[in-house]
Amino acid sequence: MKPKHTLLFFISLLCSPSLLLAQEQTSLVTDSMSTATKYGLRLGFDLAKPIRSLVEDGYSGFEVMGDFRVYKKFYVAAEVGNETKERIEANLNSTTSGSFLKLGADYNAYNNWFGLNNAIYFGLRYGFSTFKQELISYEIFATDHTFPPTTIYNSEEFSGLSAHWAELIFGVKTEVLTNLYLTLNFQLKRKLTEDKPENFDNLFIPGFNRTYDFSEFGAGFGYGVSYLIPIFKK
Amino acid sequence: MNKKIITILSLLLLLNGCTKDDICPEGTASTPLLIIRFNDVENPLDLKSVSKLTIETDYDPSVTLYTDVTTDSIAIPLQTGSNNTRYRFIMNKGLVDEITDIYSFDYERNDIYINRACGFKTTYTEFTAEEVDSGPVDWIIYLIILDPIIEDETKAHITILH
Repeated sequence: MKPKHTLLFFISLLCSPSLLLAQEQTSLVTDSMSTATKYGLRLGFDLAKPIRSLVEDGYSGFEVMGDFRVYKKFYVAAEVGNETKERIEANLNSTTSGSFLKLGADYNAYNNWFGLNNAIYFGLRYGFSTFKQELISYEIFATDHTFPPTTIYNSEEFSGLSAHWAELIFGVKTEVLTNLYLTLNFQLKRKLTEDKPENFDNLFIPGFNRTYDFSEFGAGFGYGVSYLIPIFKK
Repeated sequence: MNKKIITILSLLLLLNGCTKDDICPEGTASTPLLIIRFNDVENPLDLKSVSKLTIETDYDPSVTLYTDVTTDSIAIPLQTGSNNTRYRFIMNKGLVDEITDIYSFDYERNDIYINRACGFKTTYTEFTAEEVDSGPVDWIIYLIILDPIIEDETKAHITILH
């Protein structure tokens, strides 16, 4: 190439960016991608409890859950449900049934990529349950075996029992389809107050799961599906 | 993040697994036995051993608890499914000078909850004893109730004077 043309080429290269810059500015203003995040009421139900109802003998239960984003990464959340659990063992045969309500808040600790709405969250709940216990039968504990073991069938119902507990939740919410979320969470619970039936115990508390003789703590998990009803965008 | 999830998952599964409240520990106080002390009818405060004592339940079929024992105190169970238990106290069983005394024990029962692994035990109250007429000769002169409440096995509940 002639030196004159080479020089002209390089000069035009230097000049053109300013032209391109002008174009970019106008294109930014008319960008079609939305940066708004959806705010709405998310409602759903737990899948683990109905599955457990089918799979486990003597258990039936369901749970409905909801949450609502109040500010950026903070949500208020609640779960409500009903559980019945039978304990069928030779030495002790009893049934617990009742409902529970959990109220609290979740914090999403995950920074979503642009346009995604997944969450890895920590939550706190205050749990409350009203339930009844029915003691159906029991075998008398005796170390001497001169006489055959005695089973007492003395159906006794303890109703109007209640319990309160605090819960720490760690979970994941994934948006699998537009506005449809799957949740998996693990719960660590601690009993706060509990009505114990006279001369018996609460072997299971709805919403709390099974209790332990030597500990105020308990655990559970949830697997659910929920749908976000969008209300507004910010 | 995956590691954290697995750690928490295993922790929770562990909590839902076998815990110490699934096993009734050995040595847990269970339904108490009736503790009998043998005292001298002439010196009621003194212990007096019996020898060649056989204790059987007074039912058909009978269960033998002790055969030809020599002791100054003994423990026997009371039925947990009934408010009455009958025993045969036999001295020198099988010998020419065999003497049988039959006693009927009546009581009220209370079932007490221990924990979820052990369940319930029974304690007895309003304990009374009555001799069931069994012949012209008795080796038991008096049967005295020391404590009508049978809740533990720390001390004798009745004393037999012979």
